[in-house]
Amino acid sequence: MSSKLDMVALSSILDIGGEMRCRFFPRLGEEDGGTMSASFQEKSTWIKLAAMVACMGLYFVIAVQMLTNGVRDFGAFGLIFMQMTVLMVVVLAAGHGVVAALGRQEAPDERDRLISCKANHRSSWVLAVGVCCGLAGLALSVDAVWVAHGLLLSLVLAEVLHDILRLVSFRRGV
Amino acid sequence: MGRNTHIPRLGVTNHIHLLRSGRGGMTQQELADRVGVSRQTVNAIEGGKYLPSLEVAFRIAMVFERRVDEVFLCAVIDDSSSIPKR
Repeated sequence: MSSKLDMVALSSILDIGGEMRCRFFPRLGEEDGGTMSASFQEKSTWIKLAAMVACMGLYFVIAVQMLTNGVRDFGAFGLIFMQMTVLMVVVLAAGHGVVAALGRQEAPDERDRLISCKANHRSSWVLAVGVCCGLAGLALSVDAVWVAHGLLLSLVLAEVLHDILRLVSFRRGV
Repeated sequence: MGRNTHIPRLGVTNHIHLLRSGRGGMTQQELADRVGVSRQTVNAIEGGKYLPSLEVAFRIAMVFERRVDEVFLCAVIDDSSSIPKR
């Protein structure tokens, strides 16, 4: 009984975003008189975005503190990065497990692939800018640790933008 | 042929909602399962937010046992646009 209640509570929590978004985009809530719940792919994108922002955000907060304290050892950064990566994988696995248990798991269809392709196309410039800045940093003899973190930041920002663009397209159309 | 060719813009609508109602209230999920896409994709197609591929359009038409042009309709919405031809 308790576990059933927990599942209902989790289900309602996961769908709060969908309910709120349907208020802003009422035409998309026309599923046979009900509201339009998010697809598996959309929920997956929300989980990925949340995990990425939380784990990588935490990493960069720690990394900036270390950099300002004069730490330049790649090993120290690498250890924290590995820990955050493992934490992110655990959060992703747990999140997807819960979503798959609460609803039906669907493979991406042609619309999902088109949305992903367009989001990728529109977000790739962030990584390109990051790489160019990294090259410029190397040419200007900027510390390699700063350059590496600049490159990593551009990669993370490109992924975050990619996920945000996907979420917008899921709701507003391709 | 000139360098600029007038190509009219087309708006595509569909009768999927009507056809579903005519099938004893077929749900979007039922249609999605038979076509092989997600319910959200059917919802987006119905609402005009997404134009499906030819394959999906044909599959939808086959579910309703209609021709594609009986399910999807197109109309000229603006014939003043000029699209440069490369």
